[in-house]
Amino acid sequence: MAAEAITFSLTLPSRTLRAVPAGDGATQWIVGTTSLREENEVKLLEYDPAHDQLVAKASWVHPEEVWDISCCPGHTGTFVTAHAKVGVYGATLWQASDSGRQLSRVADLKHEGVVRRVLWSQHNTGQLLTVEEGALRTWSVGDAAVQQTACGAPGELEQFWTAAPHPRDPQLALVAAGPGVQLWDVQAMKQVGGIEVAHRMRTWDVSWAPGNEHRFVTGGDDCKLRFWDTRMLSRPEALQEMSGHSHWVWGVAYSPFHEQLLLSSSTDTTVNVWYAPALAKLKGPEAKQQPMGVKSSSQSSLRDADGKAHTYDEHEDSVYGLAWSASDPWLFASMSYDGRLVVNKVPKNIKYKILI
Amino acid sequence: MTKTYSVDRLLTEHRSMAREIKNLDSDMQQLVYENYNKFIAATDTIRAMKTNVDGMESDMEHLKTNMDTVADKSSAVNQKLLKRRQQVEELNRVQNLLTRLQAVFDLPGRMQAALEEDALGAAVGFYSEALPLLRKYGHRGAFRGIAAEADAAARQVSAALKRRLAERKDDTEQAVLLLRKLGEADDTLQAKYLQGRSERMTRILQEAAAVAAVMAAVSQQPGGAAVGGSSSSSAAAVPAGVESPEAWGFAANGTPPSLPRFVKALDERLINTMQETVMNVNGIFLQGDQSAARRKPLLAMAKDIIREYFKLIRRTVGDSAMSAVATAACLHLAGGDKDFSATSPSLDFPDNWGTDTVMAAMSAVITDIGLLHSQLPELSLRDWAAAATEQAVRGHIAAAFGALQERMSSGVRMVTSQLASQDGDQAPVQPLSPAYGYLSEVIQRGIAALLKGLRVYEQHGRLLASFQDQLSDAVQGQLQALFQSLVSSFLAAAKIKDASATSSSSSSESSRQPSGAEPSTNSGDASGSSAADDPPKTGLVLLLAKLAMFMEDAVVPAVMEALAGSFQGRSGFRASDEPPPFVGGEVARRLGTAANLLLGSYVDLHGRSLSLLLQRSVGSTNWLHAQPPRAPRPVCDLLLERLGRCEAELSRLVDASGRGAGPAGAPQHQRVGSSSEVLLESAAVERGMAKLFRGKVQPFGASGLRFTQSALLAAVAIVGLKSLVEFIRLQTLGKAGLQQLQLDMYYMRPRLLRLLGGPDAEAVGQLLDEVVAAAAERSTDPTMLETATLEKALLALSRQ
Repeated sequence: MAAEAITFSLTLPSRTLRAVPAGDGATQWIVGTTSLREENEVKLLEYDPAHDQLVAKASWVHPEEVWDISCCPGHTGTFVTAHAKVGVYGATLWQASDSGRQLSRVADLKHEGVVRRVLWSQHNTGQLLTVEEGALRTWSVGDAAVQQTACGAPGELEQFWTAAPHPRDPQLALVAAGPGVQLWDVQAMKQVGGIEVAHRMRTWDVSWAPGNEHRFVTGGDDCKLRFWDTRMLSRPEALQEMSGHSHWVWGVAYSPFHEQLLLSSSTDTTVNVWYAPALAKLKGPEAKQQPMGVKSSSQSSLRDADGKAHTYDEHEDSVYGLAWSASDPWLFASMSYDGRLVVNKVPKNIKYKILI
Repeated sequence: MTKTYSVDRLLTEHRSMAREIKNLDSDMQQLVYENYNKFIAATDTIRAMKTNVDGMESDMEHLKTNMDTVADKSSAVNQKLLKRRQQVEELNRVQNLLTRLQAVFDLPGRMQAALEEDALGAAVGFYSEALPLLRKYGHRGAFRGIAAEADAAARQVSAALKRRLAERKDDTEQAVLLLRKLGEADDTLQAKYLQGRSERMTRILQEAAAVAAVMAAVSQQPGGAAVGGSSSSSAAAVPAGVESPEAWGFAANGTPPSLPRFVKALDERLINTMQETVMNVNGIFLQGDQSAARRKPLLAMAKDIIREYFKLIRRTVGDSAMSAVATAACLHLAGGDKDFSATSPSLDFPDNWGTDTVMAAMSAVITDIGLLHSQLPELSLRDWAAAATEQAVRGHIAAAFGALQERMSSGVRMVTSQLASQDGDQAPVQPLSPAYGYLSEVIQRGIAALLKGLRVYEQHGRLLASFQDQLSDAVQGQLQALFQSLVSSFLAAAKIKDASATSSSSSSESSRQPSGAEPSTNSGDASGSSAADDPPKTGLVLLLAKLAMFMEDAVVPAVMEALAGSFQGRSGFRASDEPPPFVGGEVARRLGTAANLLLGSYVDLHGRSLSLLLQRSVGSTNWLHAQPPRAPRPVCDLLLERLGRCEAELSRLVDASGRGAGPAGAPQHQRVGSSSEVLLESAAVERGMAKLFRGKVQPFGASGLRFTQSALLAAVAIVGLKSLVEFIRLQTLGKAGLQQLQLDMYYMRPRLLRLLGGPDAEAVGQLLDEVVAAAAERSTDPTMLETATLEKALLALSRQ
């Protein structure tokens, strides 16, 4: 079914795993450790398809706990991290030297509260988005300085958790706030829509669909994935929901290549691959109307029903890090808190279903 | 004599003999003399005769010729008389004719008289009698005048008839028939006639519809006609427009007729009228010309009427079936159930689901329609009737299942509302156990009674011969659908979206917190207020889960057994659009899935309420700069109380297997000691911990939750504690914060384990360690408290 998993171990507790934007076709991930008392590091890992293994291309010392990383598209050595040191949070733009383990601090991004997420714009290398619990900030990156351009607040009693910029529209970003999701126009820095309650207590992750500009998925602490359409945010009902985890869904990620394919990671230590051909076919904002009984009677529709396609259980702790390869549509990595990083491939049967 | 007699004697003898001879001789001579004359006479006579016979020959010849002459003369006379006789006969005939002609001569007068008395029928009768004569002789002599007069009178009659045709709607067809007899042109008349008949039959149908409406109204009244509501008679007044209620089978007190009675009455009128129409059309308009073109209007009319007829039958049978099954499903009684008594009358499902009534009505329909078939073969009425029967039967089956389903879902609704009115878990006396008993009885008995009621169909194999297999399929399909809808109604009641059968029901994920505007008012209680958006009652979810398991284990096998006995579906080809027959395995699988979903949801609801509690407590604590711990935080007691409530709920429905098995005392002290050592180590050991913990954190893995108190309770606790681990990992703790958590967990451990007991406590204990491990890892100074210090703190607490 699934190919042999490749594992790689970081020795320290780790939370963040991000794909490095595709440059020369190689699959690269960047990871950071989150140890309170020991020296943290940021590692650049590359998948070696020839030997089917994961190779550490670079490793840099990072004094603070790394809570999030984002690479500058096209400049692998330039990245920004969200970090904390004994409860003091911040974000910093780093420049890695080609040799040696030292990072040079380019600029600190001044924050007031807990920084949860940093995101380098995929459209404009001079633009950054950071998510602080109490604010959403955009920054413009100069040669050696970072300037805050705008700042927006989540609203009464809400806290931002994470964000997902729209893959094609540089104006739009989804921001997870408390139990809900907000849609922001990050250029005008104002909220343009939102779902008050997407999940019962917390929405932990959001991800845009690659093909449908209105579609996105959220994962939250009610163990479910929910699919939404930006045109129907006022409706409390999700387009579809899928369940298959037994604790919080910490990460969700639409495949950047295939509309039918999703990943989710959970604090129940599992990673799931989801296959949703019917949902991918559905273009409009209306929820699916499934005639009763059709599903059970027809074998073919049963086989191609939307839902969990495979569960990976190589992890032994909560899986916080989850990222697709930026260049290989069937490759993805997941990382649990104990530092174990696992690279898996999408099961072949799903792959062929999508391709053929 | 010569030897014996003496000579004397002989001589004497001789003398005497000689004397005698002499005497005899003289006698003879005497005789001859005496008779001589006679001889002479005879001889003479013979001679005379001889001469006479010779003379007679010629006389005879003569006689013969005379006789011939007589014969000739006679025939000549006859010849002559024949002509006369014919003339007499002819005259006689003429005389008769003249008598009849007398009637013809009278015809105009009589017609006139009839016309004046408006007895058009009589007038037409006279005219049509005389018509052949007039046709024949109307152009001759005196007849001409008469014919003209008669025709004039006929025209008057015809005009009068047409007038009547225009003015009076009610007996059009009569007028048309008369007109037709008067020899009017066909086309419009036939149309008009058919229209008149059609209107007549439509009236019958309307009347019948009114009757049917009353029947439906009565049967829908509470108690139903079957229960014999004498009070309902006033409400069920005979509808206006129904002329003779008795003929429709109304009882004297106005109780409407039973369905078979009604169908019989309707058929009597409508089918008879139809037959008469067909006969009249055949006889009068078509006159043997049975070509399709000529029969077309008739067929069209008949088709319309019969379509209406079947519509009415369908509706009436449908209504009747509806009320029968409603009665059978005890829908009216169920409303009265206030508690969950297992002896409630609504649980005594009768076996009569109205099958016989439906079959009686439909067999009457088939028979009566069959009568028409020979007259209207083009309409293939038998097929029509068979189709209607099939439809009626299908409808009845569907209605029966619908009623049963309604009954069950009303049971679920009632339980839901009863539980809601019991003000949540503040009062832990929710009647979960009786409610479960009640619902399981409804489901089990209801299905059994329904199958029994439908089995009556098997006794009507003759009527359903063509459709026996489909019938079984229909029953099986409905059963399947019933179970499916039960499953989905369970899930809907528990507000679970079934991923495998997403329906468009809006009841699912509308549950929301009060939008975080005032989080402290919503204590995370899964059953606080009773707003529509509330999460479902945990007790209800648990009850439904148990019900689903009961159905999987008991009801489905029973149903399969019953099906094997009677409703054996056909094994052959099945069109893809038909509902699938009952597949026990599939249904059981669905029920199992639903039970798992419900249990999952149950754990989820409780777990989430714990998570919320813990999130708040973690969020409201300054972990980095906390005060050194003196006592466990109040959240611990809150958590334990929640679990206690959950346990109380579970104890009502779930078998107490595995509880209290493991004494929760001494061993835990050692573990705390060991864990504090372990925690000082770093990630490698922590991963070892995780390994131990792995597999147990998933409270419902592939195998699903076990339905035991301890397993469910442990699952709830695990969800809550796992959340706590996650919350802690997002924090940075100071030394005091870590120690506070250590104390909290130390305080909770024995209490939690006592509550859980059994094998499942193991995982929970490890998760408590996991919490402390997470805290230690996120602590700037991972200095733990000694076990003795912890003991001391708790001892101080208990003294207060």
